[in-house]
Amino acid sequence: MLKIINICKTYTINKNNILILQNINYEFQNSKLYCIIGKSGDGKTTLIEIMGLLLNYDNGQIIINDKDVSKLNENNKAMIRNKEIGFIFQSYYLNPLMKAYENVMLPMYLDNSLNNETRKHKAYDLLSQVDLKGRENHFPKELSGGEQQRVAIARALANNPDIILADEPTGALDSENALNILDILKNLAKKGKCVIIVSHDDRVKKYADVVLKLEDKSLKEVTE
Amino acid sequence: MNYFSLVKFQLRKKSNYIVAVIIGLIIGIATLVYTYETSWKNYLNKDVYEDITFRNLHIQTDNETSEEELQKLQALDYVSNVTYMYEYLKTYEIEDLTTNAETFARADFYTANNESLPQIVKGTDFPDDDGYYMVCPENFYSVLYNYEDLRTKTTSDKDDLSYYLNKELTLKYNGVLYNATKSEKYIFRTKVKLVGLYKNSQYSIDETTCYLNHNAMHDIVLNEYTDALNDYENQKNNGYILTVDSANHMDEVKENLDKLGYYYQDVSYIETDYLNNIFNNIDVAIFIVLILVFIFVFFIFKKDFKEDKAYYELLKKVGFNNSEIKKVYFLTSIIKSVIYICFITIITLIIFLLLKVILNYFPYLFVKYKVIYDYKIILYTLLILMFNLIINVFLNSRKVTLK
Ligand SMILES: Nc1ncnc2c1ncn2[C@@H]1O[C@H](COP(=O)(O)OP(=O)(O)OP(=O)(O)O)[C@@H](O)[C@H]1O
Ligand SMILES: [Mg+2]
Repeated sequence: MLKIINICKTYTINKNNILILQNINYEFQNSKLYCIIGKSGDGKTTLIEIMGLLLNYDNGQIIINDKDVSKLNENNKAMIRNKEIGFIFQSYYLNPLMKAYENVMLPMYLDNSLNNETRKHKAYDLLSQVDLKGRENHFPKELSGGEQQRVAIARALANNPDIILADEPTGALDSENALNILDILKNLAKKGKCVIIVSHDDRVKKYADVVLKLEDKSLKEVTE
Repeated sequence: MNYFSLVKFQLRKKSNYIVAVIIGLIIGIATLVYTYETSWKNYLNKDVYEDITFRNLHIQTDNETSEEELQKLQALDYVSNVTYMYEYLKTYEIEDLTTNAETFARADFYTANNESLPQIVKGTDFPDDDGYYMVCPENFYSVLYNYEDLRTKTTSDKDDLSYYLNKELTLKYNGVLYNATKSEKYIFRTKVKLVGLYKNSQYSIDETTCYLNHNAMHDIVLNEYTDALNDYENQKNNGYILTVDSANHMDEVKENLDKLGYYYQDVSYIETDYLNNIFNNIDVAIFIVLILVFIFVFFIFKKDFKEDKAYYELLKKVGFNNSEIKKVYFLTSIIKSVIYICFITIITLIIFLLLKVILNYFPYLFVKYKVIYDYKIILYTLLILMFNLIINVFLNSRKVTLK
C-alpha cells in the first residue's frame, strides 16, 4: 500500500519557481495495476520518482505499508527503496558490464543475510520467472530490448518488494514485446503487488485496473 | 558488505586496458629515446670532454721553446701538466706483450706528471726520481693492426697488466732516419717500469692510453732522433702542449692564455652545436609527448567516469545510500589507478628488457656508447598519472551522489 498526501513539488529554473505538482493525494492498493497517463512534461516522472523516494518534494507525506517514510533520513529512505520498491525504466538501466544474473543480483548485495551463492540462485530463479532461463550469463548487449526490460523486471523483484514503479516500461519496445512485459506486470499485480505504470501508451490502459490522469498539477481517476 | 564484488564489474571495461597499453608504449618509447640521449650526453660529458685529448691545448710560440717558459705555463691556474710538443704523444710497441709477428702490441704514450695522471687503482703514481716509469689503464687493449679493429675486440682480448706491475716492460721503436736513402732501420729498446694501473673512463675510450713520466719520454725521443739531430732541433720550434685539469676549466685557462698573449689551439675538438640541437629537439619532443599524455589521460579518465556514473545512479535507484556509493566509487578509482600504473610500468619495463636482450645479442651496436638506463620519464609519467587520478577522483566524487 502506497499513500501520498498533499504532495507538492516545485522546480527552480533560473531563480523561477515552477510548480509541477500541487496537493496530490492518492492511495494505491496492493494487488492492483495502476496506469498514470498525462501529457509530456506534466510531471509523471517527477511524481513517480517522488513516490520512489528518489526525489525530494516541498511538502506532503508518503506512507508505505502504514509507515510514514517522509520524515526518514537519506539512509533509511535508501533502505526503503531497496526493500519495498522495485524500479523499471524506459531505458532499462542495466549495467552493460554485468551479466544478466549479476544485474539482477545488484539489489541483493545490500542484504547481508544472503551469501553470493544464494543471491545467484535467487537471480537465476527470478530470470526464469520472466522467461529468461538460459540467458543468465549474457551481457545486456547480447539481449534484445524486450529481454533487457525483462532482466530489469527481475531486478526490480530482487528483494520481493510490495511496490513496483515503472516509468514508460514499454516506451522503447515493439507491440509484441510490450504486451509481453505488460502481461508480466499484470501477473505481478495479481500476485498481490502494487504496480504503478507511467505511460502514454494506450495499450497500458487496457491492462490497468485503475487509470489515473495527471493534469493541471493534480491527479484524478479516469472513469470510462 | 563486500565492496569488491561491486567494484569488480567496472574492471571489465576493456578500453581501460587498451588505453593503459597505449600509454605504456608511448612512455616506453619516450624513455628509450631519452635513455639514448642521456647515454650520449653522459658519454660526451663524462668521457669525451674529460679525456686527456680534449683537455689539451697546443700553444704555438714564435721563439724556440725553453724550460723557463714551460715552468711559467705550468704555474698557471688549473694547468696540470705542460710538455714540449715533440714529447707530447708517441705510439710505441710493448715488446713483452707482442705474441706474433703480425700483431704487435702497441699503445699510445702521453707524457704526464703526477698531477695529470688519472686515478690510480693498482700500484702507485710516478716515483720522484730519474727512473723510467709508466702507468697503464686497468682495462688495456694493446694488440691492434689499426684503429678499426678496436671495435670488434671483445674483453677476452684484453691484456691484464696486473702481472707486469712493478716489472720492467720493453718499449720498442724505430729511429727517425734523416737520410732517407738509408734502408736499414735503427731499432731501439728502452726498459720502462710499470708502476701503476689507472681507472678507465666510464666507456673505456682510453683503453690504449698509457702515460710516461717526463724523464722517460725525454730520453726515448732523444734516442729516436739519434740519426736526425737536425730534425730534433727543428722540433723545438713546435711549441708546448698544456693539459688542463678538468674540462670545466678550459675557458678559464684560455682566458689566462689570452691575457698573456699566447696563441693556442684545441688539440681535439667536437662540433657540439649539432648534437646539442638534436638533444634540445628531443627534449622538446618528449616534453610535448608528456603534455599530450597528460591531456589524453585527463579526458580518458573523464570519459571513463561519465560511463561509470550511470552505475552509481543505478546503485542509488536500487537502494544504496550515499556513503555506500562513495565507498564503491573510491574503491573503484583506487583499483583502476593501480591497474593503470601497473600496466604502464610493466609495458615500459618490457620494452627495456627487449632492449637489453638486443644489446646482449648485438653488443657491437653499443660497444663504445654504454647505455645509461634513464627511468626519469617513467617516473614523470607515473606522477602525471597519479596527479590526474587524484584530480579526477576528487572532482568527480562530488558528482557521484549529486541529485
Ligand atoms: N531536475 C529538473 N529541474 C528542473 N526542471 C525539471 C527537472 N526535471 C524535470 N523538470 C521539468 O518538470 C516538468 C515535468 O517533468 P517530467 O519529467 O516529470 O515530465 P513527464 O510527465 O515525465 O514528461 P514525459 O512524458 O516527456 O516523460 C518538465 O517541464 C521538466 O522540464
Ligand atoms: Mg517522463
